[in-house]
This record gives sequence, C-alpha cells and structure tokens, in this order.
Amino acid sequence: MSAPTPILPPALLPLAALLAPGRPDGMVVAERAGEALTLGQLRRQVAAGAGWLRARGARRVLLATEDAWDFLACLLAVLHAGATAVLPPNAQPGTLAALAGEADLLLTAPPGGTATMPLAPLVAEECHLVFFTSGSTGDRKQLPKTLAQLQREVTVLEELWGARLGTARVLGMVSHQHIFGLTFRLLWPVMAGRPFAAHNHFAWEALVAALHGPTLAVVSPAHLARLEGLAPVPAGRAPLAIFTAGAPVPLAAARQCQALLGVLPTEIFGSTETGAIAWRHQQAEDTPWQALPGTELATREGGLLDIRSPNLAPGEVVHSADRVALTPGGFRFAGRADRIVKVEGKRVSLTALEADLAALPQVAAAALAVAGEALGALLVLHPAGRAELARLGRFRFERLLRRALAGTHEPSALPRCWRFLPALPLDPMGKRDRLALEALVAEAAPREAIVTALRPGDQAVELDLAVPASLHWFQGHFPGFAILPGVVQLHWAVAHARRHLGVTAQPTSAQVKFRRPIRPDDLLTLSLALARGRLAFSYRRDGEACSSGTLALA
Amino acid sequence: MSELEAEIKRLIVTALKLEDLAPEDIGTEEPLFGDGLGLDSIDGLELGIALRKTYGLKIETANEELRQHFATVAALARFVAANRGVA
Repeated sequence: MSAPTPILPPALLPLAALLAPGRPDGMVVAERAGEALTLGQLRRQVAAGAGWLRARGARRVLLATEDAWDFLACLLAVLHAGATAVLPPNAQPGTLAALAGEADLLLTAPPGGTATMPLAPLVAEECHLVFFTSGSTGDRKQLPKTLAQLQREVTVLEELWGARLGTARVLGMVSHQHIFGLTFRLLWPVMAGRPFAAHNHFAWEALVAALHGPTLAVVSPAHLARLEGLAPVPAGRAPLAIFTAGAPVPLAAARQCQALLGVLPTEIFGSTETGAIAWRHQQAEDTPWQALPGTELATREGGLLDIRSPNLAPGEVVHSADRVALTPGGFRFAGRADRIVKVEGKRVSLTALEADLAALPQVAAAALAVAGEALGALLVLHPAGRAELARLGRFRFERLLRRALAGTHEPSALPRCWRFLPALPLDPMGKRDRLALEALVAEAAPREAIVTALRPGDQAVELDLAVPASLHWFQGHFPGFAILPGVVQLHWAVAHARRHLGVTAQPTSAQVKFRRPIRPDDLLTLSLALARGRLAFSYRRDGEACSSGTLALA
Repeated sequence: MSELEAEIKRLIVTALKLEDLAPEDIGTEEPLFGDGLGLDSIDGLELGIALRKTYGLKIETANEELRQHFATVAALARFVAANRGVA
C-alpha cells in the first residue's frame, strides 16, 4: 500500500521554495496589529538568521516564540542553515530548561547580524523538525518529521478547502508551537498565500473586531465552549471557516458558533504523531469523523485506531490509543484507552502530571481525577505545606502550586479544582480508589471520610478513615473548634455496615458513648462487628477510643 | 473603592467559581493575570462571558487595547462604566 502522490494545487507554493527568487518582495505574508509583513522582510530576516546560526555551527535549535511571524522567520532560518528545528510542546520556561539537552541553541526571536547567507531553495525531504508528545507512561516522546511530511498535509487541506478559502486572512487564538496551530495558522496560510495574524487574539471581542473582508479563524474547543453573550456577527463579516482541533466540540457549542459567527466549526481530528487525519461538521449528536483524502484507517484488537496517512513517513503506521467504531469513510470516536485525558482540548498525561505534583515541596502525595469536565488534583500536604495553606488561604495557595507547575505545563492543562486531604482513598485491594477520587473532585465538601484501608473479618470489618477538613459537617464552625457530630458518626457506621457486612436492616435504637471529639484531618480506625442482631462500632484514634456503642437492627 | 469595582470583584469570584477567595481579597490595582491574582487564559474567557451577560457589553476592541482593559479590576470598572449596555 502506498499513499497517493499528492498533486500540488496550482496556487500552493512549497514552503521549501518560499524564499527562492520569483515571488515579489512586496507580497504580504502576515499582519501584526494592522501592519503588513512582507516576503521581502522575511527574506532579510531569514538570510541574517541563517548566517548567524551558520556562524555558530548550530545543529539542533530549540524554537519558542510568542509571535507566529517570529516563529516562521526562526524556523526558516534554522532550516536554511541546515540545522534541525526542535519544537517544544509549550514555551514554559521549565519545559525549555528540560529540553535544553536536546538542542545546542534556543531561539526566542529571530537572530541576526551582518553575516547573511544566500538562500538556496530547501530540499523538503532533508529538512528535519522534532516534535514532542507525552506518552501514556508520562514520558516525553520525540517525534521527528520532515518538512516534506508537513507540506503533504497542507496539500491535502488545500485540496479539500482551498478553493473556498481564496485569499482569506487567517486569524487565530491557538499557539503555533503545537502542530495544529503550526499547520493551520502558519504553514498552510504561507503556502497558500493567505496572510496570517502574527499575534493571537486575546478574547472573542478582539477576534471579532478583526473580522473584515474574507477571513478564517483557528481556535480551540475551549474558545468555542465560551461564546455565550457574544453579539451575532453580521452575515457579511462572518469568517469563511473556523477550524478547531484537540477535542470534540460539544454539539451545543457548535450550534452556538453557527448562530453567532455564521459557520459551523470545522473540527479536525489528529495528533502530534499523525497531524490531521479526519474532519467533521457537527450537524447532529456524534456526527462521525470523515477521513481526509489519502488517509487509511483500520482498527486493531480492542477497537483501537491504526492510521496510515500522507502526513506520515512512507509505509509508517501509527497505532493510536483512540478507541473508535469505523463508519463508511470514517469513524466515531469512543475515547482514549490510556491515562491520557483531554483537558480544554489539551492532551494531559495523568501519570506525568501526578509525578510533577508529587514532586512539589509542599506535597506528600498526589492523585488526579476527572469528574465531568473538571480535572481535579487531590493532594496530601507535608506539615510545612499545610502551614503555608493556612497562611495564604486556599485560592492563593492553589495558584502558588499552579505557578510552580506553569514552568512545565500550560495553564489550561492544569487542574482547576484542588482538594487538600488528610490521605488518599484506597480500595480494598490497596490501590487508589478511582471512584472515590472522582467523587472527591465532584464535591467540594464531601460528606464521608476517606477510606485508606479495609480489613475484613468474620462478621466484622475494620476500616482506616481519614477525616477531610473540607467535610460538609465541619462547615460553619470556627477553625479549631470544628468537631464531627455524633449523628454523623452513627450514620457512617451504618453506611459501612451496609457496604461491607451486607446489613440491610434499619437501626432502631442506639447506645453510644462519646469520649473524645473527632476533628478535621484526624486519622481514625472504625471497627464494626455484627452479633445477635446488633451492630457494635468503635472509632479509635492512636489506639484511644473516641466513641463506641451498639445499634439494634430491625 | 467604587461600588462597580466591588461588584466586579464579586463577579470574578462567582463567575470563575473561585472557591475560598473573598471578593475583598482581590486588590483593585492588582494584576488579574500572570503573577498577580494568577488568572489564566481560560479564566479570561469565562470572565468575558460574565461581563457580557452581566453588563450587556457588546464591544469589539483591538487586541492590545482589550488586554489593557482586562489588566486590573480598576481598568475593568472603567471599561464597563464606559461601555455597559442593557443586560
């Protein structure tokens, strides 16, 4: 099997030949705050940049810029200097530091000096770029690609949509550091002669202000989910297309996009490994994805998607962890098969993020759980961390932790919900209790203690419990004076007897002795035993009884 | 501090569901994004929705200018006062 050889649509200029003589210096390549940026400027910047890199003998160059124009100039300078472009997954300082060993230079803006280099056309097959993605074990995986692969992807996109887009200006709200932004905001526009906006737009109001003449927009699902309240754009100013990728757009958001911006979003399915492989206009719930021309899809055991595509190296097959059901010409997506989740359209390795959370100096143990749309972090703090939490208050402490992680993770891919717990819940097998973790994320004020161990006996069971300070029953108390109400202690005893001893009867009477108050963050042992229609219970802390009694069951 | 500034602080806390942050803990001149309060781009989008819904803001503003208007509670209050419509 071989991928069909794409025929370049007549208007498409390979990036490799962009700077070669023939095109006029005055050709507009991009715009920045209303100013045109021309091919002539790009030629000068690339010639100076390539000369600078050549003089330093750079072989591998890490690229991280705020501005998409700067990125294009740097990328072309690197390739013209015969070096490999290394693209970090984000431009956070910690990520760049971690990748420093992968490159001999970091460029954050186009370099330049007096030494320039004549710009011979590039050979696309010999231009190398390295991307990164997070693997399922949380490790960072290198993905080498050639410029020829990226150009083949653009060729397919232009075949499908080029005629409709003409010379539209390209606006964006996604980073060019990701493959989706790089391809859709930068490479495709440049190759097709569509001027791209060098700056990302800060908010919808700013993007809408730039909608005049033919335009298209490249945005994230997170943006599309936050259109509410926007004034409908007059029909004459609607963009010709809105491209998005990263995660399925909720149907309601797709419809709102059509109502307010005049077009259904064109959703792109893909990954850093594969580039774009499928697309859809979501007309109804769960509209299937259509394979892009030249993409061949198959499923292997477990319904996991295998992909061949002109975007890949010849003969390469990507075995993805995407669960799908094939449909004529495409597939329905049924979720990931590993611990990679999508948060606001960003791929997050729960394994990697948990490890980074646990490595923070304030944190003793960390777990992540997803409940609904929210990614939640569940943390057990060291005593120093607890003291810092008490001093700063929860919000500022959370943001402090977020900032510590912002060195290596993008803000939108970080937990938005934080829970500080005395211990992490474990299931009867001694493994992290996923359902209990999810419940703790979903509920800011839990009503039950966290089970950290469970020891079954004969008609009896012993549980280790950690009492969260955020417990519903402690709210409204002054700090330091909160105690666990006796009725809650009885309720928990009965609830655990139902779960673990199969008790179905109702308690009819109780004899209870409360000896010591139970307070936030206490670690307790609850013993339950059934005998002669009665449930005996006791809560102990450090071997001392806090309360005990018997409940008659009927 | 004006009533509108206090109102915007309350709006930030409720719209962004900032558990355990009191509106009065937000400084009127404190940068809302980055190293100040620490809001991020998603918070910015959520805040945009809340401002549109609460104050009927129907505005189109060039990118850099809009960024300035969102810089602090004080700047947002001036922006809202000048542009508020009928919610």
